[in-house]
Amino acid sequence: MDSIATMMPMPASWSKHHSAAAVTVQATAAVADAKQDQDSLIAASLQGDCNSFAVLYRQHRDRIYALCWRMCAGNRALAEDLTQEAFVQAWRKLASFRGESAFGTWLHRLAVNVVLGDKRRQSRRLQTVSDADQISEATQGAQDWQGGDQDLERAIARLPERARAVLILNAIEGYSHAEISAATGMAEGSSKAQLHRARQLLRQWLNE
Amino acid sequence: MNEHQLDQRLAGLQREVAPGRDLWPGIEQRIDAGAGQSTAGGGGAARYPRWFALAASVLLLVAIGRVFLPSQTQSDPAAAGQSLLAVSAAQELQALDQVLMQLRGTPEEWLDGLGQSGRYGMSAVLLGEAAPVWRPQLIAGLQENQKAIISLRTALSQQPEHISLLRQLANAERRQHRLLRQWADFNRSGQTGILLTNTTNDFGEKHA
Repeated sequence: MDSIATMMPMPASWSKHHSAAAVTVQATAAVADAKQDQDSLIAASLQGDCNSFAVLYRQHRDRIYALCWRMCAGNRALAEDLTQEAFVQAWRKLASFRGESAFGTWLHRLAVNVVLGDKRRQSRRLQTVSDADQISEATQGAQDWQGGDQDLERAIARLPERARAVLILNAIEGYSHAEISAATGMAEGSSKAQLHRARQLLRQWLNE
Repeated sequence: MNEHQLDQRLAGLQREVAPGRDLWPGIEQRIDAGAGQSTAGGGGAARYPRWFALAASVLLLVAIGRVFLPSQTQSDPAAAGQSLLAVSAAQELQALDQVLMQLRGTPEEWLDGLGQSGRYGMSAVLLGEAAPVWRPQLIAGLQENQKAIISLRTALSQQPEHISLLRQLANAERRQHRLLRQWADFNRSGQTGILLTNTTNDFGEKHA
């Protein structure tokens, strides 16, 4: 809401109090309109309107892709596949969305499950791939990143699988350890330990 | 780098990253390909054609019939119990699992099958009046558990990768085996109380 408020043009003659209140009202209205739009897009999608779902896709694509990209240690091709898979599953399961949370939150959790499910399948499939190979591939993937804190992104990509997942979900995406525990199946204590390990490794690598 | 600096850098990471290519065509293609299956598009009745619902109902009835109704072509519970008791004690546990897999009919018949044996004739004496008291409880537990197993299998047929459902199904099946094993053990040893003292299921709930 703050970001919307700061974007609103304000007449210079308005008092500070008046303008702030007006902007808040406008911003609230804008948020309400956006929610209504989203609700109608969801309703239309449920009726089979693919174009409405395409709008939802465009609204949430970048956040879902960012999650997949980081969880896949910067592997762009895999992140793209998983992003697609998340939206296909969202289309299929849209009827189960009951509006108890925001659509974006529901979609994000679904994407987390898609990524974690893929990781579980991968770990069963790729027992022969060495850690060194994985780290090399991950570091290379992170070099695809063209903006932001590249050193930190590269370091996150180097983290061991479980530590990276916990760090991303907790420190970047804001999931609680209880939520991470529910999604990954690991105990809350393990989640905390993995986070501690991840942070320790990041500090060590970033200090080098 | 200290903890605070790391937090700041993590907080500064971008939450949104645009994918390198347009992912929508692939999503749309998969949505279109699955239009006749369970998708959001079409909503409600249109998503599940009438023939599909009819076929699913018939399959469900057949599945329930196979579980609950005794079949002459399937192994007889009493015979299954006899075959179990014919093997040596060392192989008993393994054989019990095999027998349980073949059992058809109602939980009452399962118990009858497992209880009938000349070798375990002494149990009839040792059980005394306790067995009639425990039997209904055990049967109720088995029936309740069987319903849960059927529901979980149905849900898993739609979401085969659902890790929580898979775990619950494994627990329910394990519990079913354990209850029947306890009954067999009880018949063999006449240890009163075994069914009453060890009735916490794998979900951590107390069973009456």
